[in-house]
Amino acid sequence: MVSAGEAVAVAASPPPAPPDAEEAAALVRVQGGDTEPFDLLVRRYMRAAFTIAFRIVGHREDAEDVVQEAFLAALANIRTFDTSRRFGPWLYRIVVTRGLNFRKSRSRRRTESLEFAPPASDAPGPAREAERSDLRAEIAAALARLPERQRMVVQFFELDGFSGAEIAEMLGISPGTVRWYLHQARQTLRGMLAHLEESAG
Amino acid sequence: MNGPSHWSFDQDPPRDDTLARVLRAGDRSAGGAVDWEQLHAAIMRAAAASSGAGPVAAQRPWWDVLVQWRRFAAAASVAAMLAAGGLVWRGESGASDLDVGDAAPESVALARVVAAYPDDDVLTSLLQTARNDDLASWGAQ
Repeated sequence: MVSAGEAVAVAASPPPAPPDAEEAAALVRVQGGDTEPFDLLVRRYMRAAFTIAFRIVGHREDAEDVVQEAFLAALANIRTFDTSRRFGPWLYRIVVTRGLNFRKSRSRRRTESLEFAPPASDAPGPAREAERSDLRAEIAAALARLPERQRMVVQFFELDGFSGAEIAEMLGISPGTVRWYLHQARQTLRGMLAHLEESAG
Repeated sequence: MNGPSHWSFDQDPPRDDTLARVLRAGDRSAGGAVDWEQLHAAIMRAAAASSGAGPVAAQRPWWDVLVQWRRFAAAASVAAMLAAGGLVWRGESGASDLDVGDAAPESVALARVVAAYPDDDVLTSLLQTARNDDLASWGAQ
């Protein structure tokens, strides 16, 4: 009998989606040494790359640094890139790797966790604010109890709208494994956060 | 929060809107605080700077090229040494009656090579030069 863990390991990955004509042309030109069309790639993928980086490093400035580094690393290695594939998933993988490395190197530094950070602008009054703060803390604590990959998977899927295949490519695992992590993360979070359903509404 | 609890590795499950709403309540995305134009400009500036030092073959420094060819150079050296060794060995087997006396080892090796190729004028002249050099160095002392 095949266990769930073994089953997800052999799950087949779908074929990667090809880039659209504009992106394919830009990639070919960038591979030829022309950095001008790189602009298109930056504009197209910068925001999603930032979202991923922010999920991992938790700070805006750090996430911006990670995104910039990831784009430069992609440019430096662009000749190794298969232009029949979309640039985004490859870039996202670099962002994840760079983000995790960045976080490791930063671990010595004391940083403020964004999940527990006070809200930025709208000031609804002390009582309401305290309530929101408690809510945030509870959700952050529930997420913190998840294993790293489960946490990333559930956030990328439920909050950022990435598909299982996209997340799989980002994290270097199979789509089946992503779905398994998602399933486990959901079970855990539903158990811990069910009582917050009304508060969150 | 009663979303679907089944699991399939063949296809993504539907989004759990309730869970997403709860998570969103605790989530503070920093995207709104980002100056996208500034970030874009910073990336493009860095990209232009990095490509200026960059990977275009014509702009590569000579030591990069040297490093790239080092394996071929090492292989060529080994091949040259083997070839020279083979020539010396053939010389030894073909000129066993050569009188080496007190001659310098380089001259002996060259003489053996010449013996193996007796009709090669260039080698003969080299041998002669080597002998003259030997004599000159002795005379200088």
